[in-house]
Amino acid sequence: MNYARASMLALVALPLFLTSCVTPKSYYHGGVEPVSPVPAPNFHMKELPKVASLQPTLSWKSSEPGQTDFDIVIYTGIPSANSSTFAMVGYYVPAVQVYQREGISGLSHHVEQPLAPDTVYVWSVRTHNGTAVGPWSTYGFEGRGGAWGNNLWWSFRTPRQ
Amino acid sequence: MEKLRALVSFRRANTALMGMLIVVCVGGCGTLDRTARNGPIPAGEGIVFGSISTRASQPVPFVTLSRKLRVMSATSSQIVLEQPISEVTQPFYWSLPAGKYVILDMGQAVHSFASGMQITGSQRIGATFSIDSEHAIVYVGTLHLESPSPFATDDYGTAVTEFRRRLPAISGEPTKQLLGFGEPK
Repeated sequence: MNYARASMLALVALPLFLTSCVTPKSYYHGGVEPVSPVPAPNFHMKELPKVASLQPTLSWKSSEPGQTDFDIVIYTGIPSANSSTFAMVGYYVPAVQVYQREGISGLSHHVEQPLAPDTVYVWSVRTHNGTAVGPWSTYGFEGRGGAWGNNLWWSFRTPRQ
Repeated sequence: MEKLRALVSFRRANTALMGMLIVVCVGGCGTLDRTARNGPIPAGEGIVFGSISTRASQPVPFVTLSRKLRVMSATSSQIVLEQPISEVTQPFYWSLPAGKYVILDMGQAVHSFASGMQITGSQRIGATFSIDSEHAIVYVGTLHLESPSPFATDDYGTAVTEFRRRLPAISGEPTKQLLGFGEPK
């Protein structure tokens, strides 16, 4: 192998090596972070968080100082633009709103109406202090292979029954 | 050794082919093209126009970048439109039936033909617009996707001038209804 070919190989292989070594990272925005169900660490579609009940209890933690209430919203999810079989990651974006509750006083909420079985939902939470409401919380991530996502809501799949 | 070389060569060709397929799929094959034509607005439809502003990417040899935006009907929850994005600031002119719509997300695929490496990304947008009646012409603003949180700005004057230049056969006064960010208030 001559020098030129070796250099070319290094140029091609190095970025591949470096990106495959990336540890997946998440970034949460809006002051609220999900506790359960939590997005899968490497964001693979097949590892979508599952809940055990059609009326799951969703919980979160807040970085908001002091006492605050929360609002929660749940939408049906549809696969994001590049969630193909070949893609390394997959995530869902909100389609139709199916549930919303306001003024929740704790850090969890038991969904009061049954959701559809074997369906992907996306959800978000925001802070609610009197008349002041925060933005709906989102997350972004950098996953394996350089994959990324921005401004996403959290997702889960319901059980078959 | 020969067998190993042949296997490696086959796998690299296979990876490159797979990558090309993904780029074509993510980039959009134009199957959901609703670009308005320079002529009478079809019955039952209206025109929505504006522009999309994205972050510039440095051209890299042997690397292709493809991006597309998806629009969903809020009534049927079906994807009705896919808009490939090829410029940093790109105007759009869509012909759609009267109704409510959501710009769902922007998908991106970066493929290196040299290494076979594929990187994908997605940004949720959640911007809403509506076409209130047949033959309505609606300006929705410039959708900014340079940062993780999308927003819209008003460039009505420039956009209408460009609209008249590109689609002179479409008559009627555009109304301004900037994109909303459709989460519950």
